[in-house]
Amino acid sequence: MARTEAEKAERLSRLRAGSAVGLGLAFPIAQTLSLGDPVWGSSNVIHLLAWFVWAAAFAVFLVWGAGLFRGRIARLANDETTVENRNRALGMGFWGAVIAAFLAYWASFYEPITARDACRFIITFAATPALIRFGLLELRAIRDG
Amino acid sequence: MAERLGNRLKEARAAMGLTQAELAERTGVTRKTINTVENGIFVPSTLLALRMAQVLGRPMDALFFIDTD
Repeated sequence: MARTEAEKAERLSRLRAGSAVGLGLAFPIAQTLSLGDPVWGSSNVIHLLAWFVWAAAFAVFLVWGAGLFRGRIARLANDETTVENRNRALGMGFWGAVIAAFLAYWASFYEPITARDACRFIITFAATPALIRFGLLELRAIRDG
Repeated sequence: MAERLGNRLKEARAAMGLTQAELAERTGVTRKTINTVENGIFVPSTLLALRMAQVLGRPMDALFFIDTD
């Protein structure tokens, strides 16, 4: 059965919201596993590729938002509510990054931290709450009133 | 005293026999936006509020009002 553009946009929003929560939960686990020396002896190239994958996922969920859709579906999938939810999520991510930066600075007095680990720590604390908050706000909005 | 934007969107929509999805279609947003506005979760932009009023054939101040706790 053919779906209308509005139905496609709503389906996309629902999928995006669920994926954002899932990604937000998976991200800190992946980052914890890769802190310090590589656990499975992976090379820098693999680490770099993994970062590109994460960066692309963040762009899709938090910045770009409409996946491969264009035109009206993309506009509907990024309507006023989504823009507002995204802004609120990014605001939370910003404060997460600030707090993480302070924590990393404080911890560096007691434990040597490499620049790479500090970056991961900060990005994880920024991205995780932003993704989860965006997903939860979207799911709450989608829920029947 | 806290102020929030109250609305009579649900009543006006029901009076016209429209579903949330139909109102969303006519105003160019998704059903979730209509849902969140009706439930007071989301405050719409002036532009969207005007479009809703236009579609529902009501003046803006008949649809939206300041609700004080």
